[in-house]
Amino acid sequence: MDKGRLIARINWPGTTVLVFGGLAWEAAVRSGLLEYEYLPAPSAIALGWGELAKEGILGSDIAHTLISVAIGWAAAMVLGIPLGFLLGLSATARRYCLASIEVLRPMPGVAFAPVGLLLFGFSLKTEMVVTILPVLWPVLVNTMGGITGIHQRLYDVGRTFRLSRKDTILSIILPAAMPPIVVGARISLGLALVLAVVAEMVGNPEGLGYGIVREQQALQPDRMFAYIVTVGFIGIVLNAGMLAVAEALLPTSRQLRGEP
Amino acid sequence: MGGLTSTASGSVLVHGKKLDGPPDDVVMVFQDYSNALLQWRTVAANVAFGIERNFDRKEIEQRVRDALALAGLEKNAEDYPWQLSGGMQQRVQIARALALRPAVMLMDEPFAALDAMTKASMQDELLRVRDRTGTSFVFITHDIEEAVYLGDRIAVLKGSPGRIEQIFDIGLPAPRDQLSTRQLPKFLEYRYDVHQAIGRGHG
Amino acid sequence: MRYTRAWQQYLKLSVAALPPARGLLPLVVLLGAWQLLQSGKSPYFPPPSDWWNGLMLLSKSGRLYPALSATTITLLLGLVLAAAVGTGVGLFIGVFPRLSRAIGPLLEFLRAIPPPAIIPVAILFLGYDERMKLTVVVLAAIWPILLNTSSAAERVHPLLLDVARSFRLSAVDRMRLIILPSVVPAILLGIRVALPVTIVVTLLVEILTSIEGIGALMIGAQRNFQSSQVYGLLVLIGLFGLLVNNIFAVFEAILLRRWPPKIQSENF
Repeated sequence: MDKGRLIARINWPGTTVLVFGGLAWEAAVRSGLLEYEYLPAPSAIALGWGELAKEGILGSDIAHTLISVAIGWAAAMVLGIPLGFLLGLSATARRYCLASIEVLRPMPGVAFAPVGLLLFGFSLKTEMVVTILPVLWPVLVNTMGGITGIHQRLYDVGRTFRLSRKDTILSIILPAAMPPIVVGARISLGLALVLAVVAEMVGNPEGLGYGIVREQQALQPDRMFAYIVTVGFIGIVLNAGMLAVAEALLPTSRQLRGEP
Repeated sequence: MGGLTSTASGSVLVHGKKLDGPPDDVVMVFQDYSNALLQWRTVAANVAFGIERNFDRKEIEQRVRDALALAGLEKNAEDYPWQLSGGMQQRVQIARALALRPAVMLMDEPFAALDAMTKASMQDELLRVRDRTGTSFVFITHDIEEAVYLGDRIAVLKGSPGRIEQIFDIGLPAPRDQLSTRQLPKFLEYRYDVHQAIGRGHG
Repeated sequence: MRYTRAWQQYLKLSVAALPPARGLLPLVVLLGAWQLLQSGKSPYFPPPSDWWNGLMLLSKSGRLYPALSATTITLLLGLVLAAAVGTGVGLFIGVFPRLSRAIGPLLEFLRAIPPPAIIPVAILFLGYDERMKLTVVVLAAIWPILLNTSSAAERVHPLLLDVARSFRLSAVDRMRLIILPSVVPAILLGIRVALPVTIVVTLLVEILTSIEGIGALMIGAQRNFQSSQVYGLLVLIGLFGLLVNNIFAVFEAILLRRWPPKIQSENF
C-alpha cells in the first residue's frame, strides 16, 4: 500500500480527538481545573505504569492473568468443540441437552466465586471455577450452531460426489463450520479475560484484577488506572490476535469471519 | 424535479398540463417501495404521513379515506406494509401521495420492481386515478412501451446530466386498454419513433 | 393477520420455540445423583435438599427478600437509565457521521475496558453506597445500547431520509417520526446484549462491597461457611437470570410486533 493511501486510511479526526483529549486532560489536572483527589493526569498514570513495570509486579500480574485466561480458554475449547460437534451432528443429543444448556447459559460467572472460594479458597482453582462455565458457552453454542447451520444443499453436493463419511466431515462439515467456530473462540477468549479479572477481584488475590483492587484500597489511583489500561490493552491485543489467526485460517470474506 | 436527484437517461412522460407549478405541489413516489414506506406504521398511518402535521383530525381522516379508496386499499387500512405484496405496497405509496392532493405527482420508475402482470394492472389503476383526480403525473421509466401506453406526452432525455432530446405528443385514444391499444398501428409507430430517438444517442 | 392479536401468537410461538423439556434430563440426573451420593453431608458438597433448607433459613430470617429486591431494583433502574442515556447519545452520534468517526477510536478504547474493572474506580470516586452501585451498573449497560443505537442511526435507509426531505419534514420531526422508530429494534437488541453484563456487574459490586443484595448475601454465607446457603443462592441466581432473560424476550417480541418478521428474527 503506497504512502498516500495509508495516510488516507488513518482516522485523522479520531486520532486527533484522542490526542487532543489526552492533552486536555493533562492540562486540566495540572492547572487545577479538574481537582479530584482520585483523578490522576495521564502523565501520572504513565509514571505509575512505569513504576509497576520496574518493580516487576506488573510483569508477574500480567503473567498470572494470562495463564488463567489460557487455561480457562483452552479448557473451554477442549470441552466445547467436541461437545458442540456432537450436539450439532446428533438431533437426539440436542433433544436431550438443549434445555439444560439454555437453563445454565444465563448463569453469571461471578456467582460461582463464592462457591469457588468455599471449595478452593484463594487459589487459581477458584479462578477456574468462575471462568470455566461462562467461557464454555460461546464455543459450544457457536460450534453447534455452525454445524446445524450447514445448508442441506452442501450435503446434497457431497452425496452427488459420493463422498465417504470421513471425507464429508473433512471437506464439507469442517470448512463450513469453521467461521462460526472461530468467532465463538474469539468471543470466549475475550470473555475469559473479563472473567479472570473478575475472579481476581473477588476470589484470588493475584493477577491484574487483584492489582486494580489492591491499588484502589491503597488509594493509589495512578497505579490503579495503570492496571486498568493494561487490562484494556491486553483485551485489544488478544482480540486482534484472534482476528489475525482467523484471517490466516479462513482467507475468505470478512463477513464470513464474523468481523463487524 | 422533485428537488432530490436528477435522472440520467430514459423517457419521461407528462400527463395533461405542463409542469410549471411550484415545487410545493409536487409529491414523489419512489421505485423502492419497501424502503420508502414506514414499515412500522399501518397502511392508514402511512397514508396519513404527509398530511398529519398540516390538518385537523377530521380532515386527515377524510383525506386518508379518500386516498385509500382511490388506491383500492380500503380493506387493508390496518395492515402493515410488510404484510402486503409489492404491488399493494406501491399502492400505499401512491395513496400517501394522493392524500396531499398534489397538482403534480412525480413517479420514479414506480412499477419497475413489479412483475409483469402486477405492472399492467397498476398502469391501468394509475390511469383510473388520473381520470378521477385530474392530477398531472410526471412518470419516469425505461420501459418504452409503458411510456407510450400511459403517456400523453413523452420527453426523451439523453446524456448526463439529461437534456431533453425530443418531445412526442401521443395521440392515442382514451380510455387505453392493455390489449387493444397496444395493438394499434399508431402505438407501434410511436414505439418505433421513441426507440429511434433514444437509440441515436447511445453510441 | 390483525396485529392486535399478534402478541398472543408470539407467546404461542415463543413457547413452541422452547427446547424440548426432556433436554432437562442431564440437569435432573446431575442433581439426583448429587443428592444420592452426598447423603453423608459433606461440608463442601451439600446435597440439593440442603440447599433448599438453607434458602428457607435465609428467607425466614428475613434477609432474602430485601436482598432480592435490592438486586432487582438496581438491575431495572440501571437498565432503564442506561437505555435512556444510551439511546440519546447513540442517536446524537449516529446522526452526525463525522462526529462518530471522530469519537470512534475513543469509544473503541473505552469499550475494551471490561466493566468490572471500572468498579474500583467508582468505589474511589463515589464510596461504598447505592449511588456508586447504580452508576457502575449504568456504565456497564450503556455500551451495547449506545453502540447499537448509533450504528443503526447511521444505517437508516437513505431512501427514508429522501422521503423525509420530499415531505419537507423538520429535523425534529425527522428524528421523531423516522429515525427513532427505525432504530427501536437495535435499541432492544442492545438492551438484550446488556442484560447479562448488567447482572454480572450488579452481583460483582455486591460481592466486592457487601452492599445490600443477593451477591452480598452470597459472600456473607461463604464467609460463614454456610455452603448449603451458597449453593441455594447460586440456584436462585440462575433462576433469576433465566427469568429476566425470558421476560425481556417476551417484552421485546411484543414491542417488535409492528416490525417486519425479518427484523424480529434478526433480534433472536
